[in-house]
Amino acid sequence: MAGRVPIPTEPPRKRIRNFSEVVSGYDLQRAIAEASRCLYCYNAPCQKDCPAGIDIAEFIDRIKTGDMRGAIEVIRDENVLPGTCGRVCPVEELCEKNCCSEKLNEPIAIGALQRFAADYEKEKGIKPKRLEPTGKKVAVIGSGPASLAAASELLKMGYKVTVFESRALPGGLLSYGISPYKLPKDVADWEIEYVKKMGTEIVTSGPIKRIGELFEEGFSAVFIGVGTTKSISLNIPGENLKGVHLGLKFLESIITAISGGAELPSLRGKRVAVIGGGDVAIVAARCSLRLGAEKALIVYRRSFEEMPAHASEIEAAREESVEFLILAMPTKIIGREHVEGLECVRMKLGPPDESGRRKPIPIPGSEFKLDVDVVIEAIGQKMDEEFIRENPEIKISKGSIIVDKETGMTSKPGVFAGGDAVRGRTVVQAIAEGKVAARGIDEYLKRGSK
Amino acid sequence: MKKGEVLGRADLSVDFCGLKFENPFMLSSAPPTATWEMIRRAFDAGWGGVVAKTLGLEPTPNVRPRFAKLQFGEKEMAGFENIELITDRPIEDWLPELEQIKKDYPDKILIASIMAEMAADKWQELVKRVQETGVDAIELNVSCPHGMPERGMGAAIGQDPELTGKVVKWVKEVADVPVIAKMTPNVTDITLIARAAEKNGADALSGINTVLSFMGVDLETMEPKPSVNGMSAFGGGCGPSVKPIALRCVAQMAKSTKLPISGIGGISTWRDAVEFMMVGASTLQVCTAVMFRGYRIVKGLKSGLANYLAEKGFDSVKEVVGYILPKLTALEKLDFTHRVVYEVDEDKCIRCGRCYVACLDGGYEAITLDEEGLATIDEDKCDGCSLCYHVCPVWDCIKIKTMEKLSEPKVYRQKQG
Repeated sequence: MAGRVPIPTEPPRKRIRNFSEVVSGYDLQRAIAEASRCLYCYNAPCQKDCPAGIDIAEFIDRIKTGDMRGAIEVIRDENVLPGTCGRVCPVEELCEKNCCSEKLNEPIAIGALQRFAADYEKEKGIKPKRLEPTGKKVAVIGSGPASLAAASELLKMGYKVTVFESRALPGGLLSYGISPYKLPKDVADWEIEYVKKMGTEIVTSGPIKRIGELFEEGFSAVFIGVGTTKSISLNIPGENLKGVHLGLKFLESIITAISGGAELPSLRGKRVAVIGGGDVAIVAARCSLRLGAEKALIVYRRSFEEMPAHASEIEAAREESVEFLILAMPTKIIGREHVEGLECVRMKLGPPDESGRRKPIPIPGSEFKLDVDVVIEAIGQKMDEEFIRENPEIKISKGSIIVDKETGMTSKPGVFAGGDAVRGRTVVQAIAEGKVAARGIDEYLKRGSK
Repeated sequence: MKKGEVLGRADLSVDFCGLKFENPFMLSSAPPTATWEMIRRAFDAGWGGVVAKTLGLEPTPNVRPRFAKLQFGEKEMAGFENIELITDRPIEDWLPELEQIKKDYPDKILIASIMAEMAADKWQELVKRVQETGVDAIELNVSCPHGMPERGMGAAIGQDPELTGKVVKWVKEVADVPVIAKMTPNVTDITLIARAAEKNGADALSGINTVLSFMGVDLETMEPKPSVNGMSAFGGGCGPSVKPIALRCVAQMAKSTKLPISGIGGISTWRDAVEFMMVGASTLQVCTAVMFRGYRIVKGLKSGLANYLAEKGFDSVKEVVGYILPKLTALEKLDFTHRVVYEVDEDKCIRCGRCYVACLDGGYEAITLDEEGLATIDEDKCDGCSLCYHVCPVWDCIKIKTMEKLSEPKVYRQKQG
């Protein structure tokens, strides 16, 4: 059997010079060749491993026969962001992980094929049928992946959906949190626009909503998909120096500069330390190189094994010569006005902590200094505190909204939640949670009306 | 006479109605034998014989394009079709060329192919003019299924035993070299035609000519394929997709006559070649595979054939000719009490579920999947039909197992309720 059709990828030396997409899609011939490798398994493991539950064997079979419209329809039945997921899904940990073809040679390039179908839809300008609401009104707070998934599912069920977004652009992570070298703006825009064309009303630049108000305004249920939009800071001395950035803000400034046609910040000749081991840290490091940084160093307090970033992301960063310093924890940012260095302490790993990962323990007397000019803090994200303050009736634990797993309902009846504010971590997981909540809302409202 | 080719320990030479071939591989009368330069290059590449492009008394111009492909998957050719006619070059140009080639390649077998309508004088004129060049044999093209029948030639003759017999008779009256009648598969019973040729003195048969086909519609342009300025006509189907038809026809010709047979129809690899020989062909004619991959493929054909023969313990290629014929019989004579079942190799099963759904929807509902997707075949329910074996993507995963004979042929009764 033939192996996987290679997915065209820009070589590292070329791609770190700009923010263009690193991976480009299959063309028609390559897509059909790759699709033809699919075994069309019965009870296919790929579908079971897809959080969105896409009938993968079916859509690939349609690509195989050249029915691209049919393929995108199958994907859209379950996933409202096909082009985004086709680009950013950690497929090697999801659908491609247990692909039967791997036992013969290599797994089918499911992500690349989904992207092909999605790009076909965008290229051909295939628009959705506008759905006319017949049922009650549901409010959705936030407009990221979980919210868009919930909105489109609710729309399909006949509800009238209004999405409230406090920022200027809808899309949440799509518009502010995924690097353009992975997700071009026109793709994000197309996917958001698609949900609008389905009949979703999206209100942007509004104030942070109080849930009580929404019920007063006549909404019968509320979905919260506010995400985790704020970076957590380290709380170490020197954080107010010039040259210290928060990961998400840093990324947002790049994305808005590119999409707004503004000039990008320059890091020419700078040595950048990025603190953290998640995807945002990796992205910040890769973006730093693209902004001209002489060096991008990821400083992480545990080892590679505990690193939450996806393996493929770490690999791509390495290819681009991002450096990694593991088992080191920053203790102080040094400098008078500007960052001049970063003081760290060496760490060792102890027994597992409550996260299940081995706990990092500082080694006394092992302090050392890194000569860096820029420090980017990317140790994690949290929900917007203002939203939590405004809505004290929604119970929160360890920074996440508590929901019923089966229905997505929060501690307040009629209020549901999903996405990074609940669990999240990937776009497709957020979509899955948005769909669960939409079904929960439907059941809740039907039960209520009886 | 030069000794035949010996590759390894296997002698590849064959006798074909008195002609000594150094190896059984020939090019059929088709585009790869359209000019004398091409024939020379084919001989240089190692082909044992060539049937030159069919000659008529008049040259026959072509349309364009004239090919279409049956595509499998991305780009793979599963079958091919042409609406090309016989040679578009005048016979006056051809004759001196044939003579020169034969002089330059005395050990190779050069066969002329001829075609005319139902007129004794025309056939006989062609034979006389052609055999003067020194060609080793003459093949009668009474089988081209497209275009030529509209002019009363080709399959218009070969579809009728009486007409075929007449042409063979006319030709034999004047021929000094062996005469080969090329059979068309586009008939209800090919044995009638084959026997008519034999009865009237044909020295050998060849077949099959192409299978009358319509390759399809270009869904983009909504035009028939191949589209000649928007229009098309039925054509001659060839390539891998016609091989099963060709094998059946060759077997029928072999069983119904005593004539040597030159097998044609979708021979692409040495494996196909062996199969054609086993149903009774002693020489083999190739066209489509060469059109796609060039004369050079003859090296692989000869190597594969020789190594196969050696592995199976044959000293000569002649020993496999007709090998399988005694094993072909009427279905009614097969053993209805012979019982086999199939079993899945757990270590090789990749949990794809293909056998499960095939047996469920197209078999005997004999396969179950466990939670991980491992397939198990219920021996009692398995009817041994072999569908699972064919849909399994893994080699040697599903295996056949012979069981005790049935006491009588099995009849199933629908379970009630």
